[in-house]
Amino acid sequence: MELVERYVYAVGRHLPRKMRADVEPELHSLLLDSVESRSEESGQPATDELIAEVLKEFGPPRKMATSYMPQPQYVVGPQLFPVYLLVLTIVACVLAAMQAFGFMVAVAGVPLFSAEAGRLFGSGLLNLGASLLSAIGSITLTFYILERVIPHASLEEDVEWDPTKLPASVRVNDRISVPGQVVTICIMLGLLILFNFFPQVIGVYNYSNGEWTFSPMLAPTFRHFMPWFNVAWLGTLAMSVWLLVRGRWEPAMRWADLAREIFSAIVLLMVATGPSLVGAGAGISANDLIQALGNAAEAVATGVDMSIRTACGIAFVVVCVGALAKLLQLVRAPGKPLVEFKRQ
Amino acid sequence: MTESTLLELRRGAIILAVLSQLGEAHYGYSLRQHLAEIGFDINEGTLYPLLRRLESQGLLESSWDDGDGRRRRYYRISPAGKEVLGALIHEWRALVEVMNRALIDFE
Repeated sequence: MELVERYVYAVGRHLPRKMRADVEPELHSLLLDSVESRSEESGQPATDELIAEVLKEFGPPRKMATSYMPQPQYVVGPQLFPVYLLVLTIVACVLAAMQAFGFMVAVAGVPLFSAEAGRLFGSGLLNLGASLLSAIGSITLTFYILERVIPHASLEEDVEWDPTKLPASVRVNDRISVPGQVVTICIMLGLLILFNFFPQVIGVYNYSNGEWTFSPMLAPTFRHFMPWFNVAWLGTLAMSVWLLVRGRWEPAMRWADLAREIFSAIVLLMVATGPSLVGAGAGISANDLIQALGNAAEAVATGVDMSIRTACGIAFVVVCVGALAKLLQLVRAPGKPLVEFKRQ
Repeated sequence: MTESTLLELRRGAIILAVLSQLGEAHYGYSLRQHLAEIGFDINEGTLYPLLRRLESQGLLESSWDDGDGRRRRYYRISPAGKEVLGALIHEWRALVEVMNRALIDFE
């Protein structure tokens, strides 16, 4: 009967300690009953082979132990899981956006297809992976604790719910992406804080002869653009907050968003065609850049300036096309989108 | 039909079957034998943990007994279990009637 003892022990290992003393003797007794009965039926002694046959019918120890548990064991149960998933998505999006923003700032003074840019990209990806793992771990741990602390009854939906108080259904084209809006808010806040309070950290970082050197990159002319940038960023921020509060697109919001996009297009056009915001010729001391980057300073400054102008030019076209599409949609039939996504 | 679909169909009936047979005390193995005799086969991994769960819900009472030379846990339906059994029987009969009407075309 050694196999029986081993099976009972194996089941007990998968049970909480306080349940073992109760379940193990009963399981032991039940197994002996089954083995004895099987032995009588077959007219054979209780060999290991016969015992193994009985044990197989009882099932794997872990499965048997799970059947004894009072309720399914979850890290995060079905009631909290949707919230858990939402938080994970938002945090992952925010981290990715922050990392992308950090990468863009770091790579601003580096040639795009250089080894340094590749190194920055690789280290950015590694950082993102590490921060994602850390965030997932922390969030899962938090929800694991919540799952055990919050009484399950309080998570149940109200039994006395009133169907007439259900929120109005939202057309597919009027729905918003909550994680997307949260990411937008984070990016806009980041831009506002960085460019208004820490413009001095934006510049060219260079490592040579065992020490880091830094040269600020924003030209004094940049200050003249700041009010325009601030209005554009604040407008985008306010739009996202408004969408989050209302939970859907509404006609007034579409007009406001169109106005915001037109304003953004104007700002982009100003940047693309106006005075240079960076580079030695635009106010940065040439000596600083030469000290930081050697003879390539002028070329880098010009390259960064051209990159910004090109990016703004492309963004201008994209924003204009988007704004035009929105305008057509609003003028043609306010309630009808240009493209209707239908559910299958 | 997959095995899981059959199990799903039998799941609710198992509790009714078990409660209905525990008017007199049984230990796990004897109850399983008893149910098998009336045509209701339940595997060990389902029945024995179910007895513990029904007891923790207050529908069964249990006590250890050393009769027949082996220490066994005997289960019997509790007063609360009897009330639940009455409601389940009522519901079961209504369900059988409804299902018979629903499935009349398949006879």
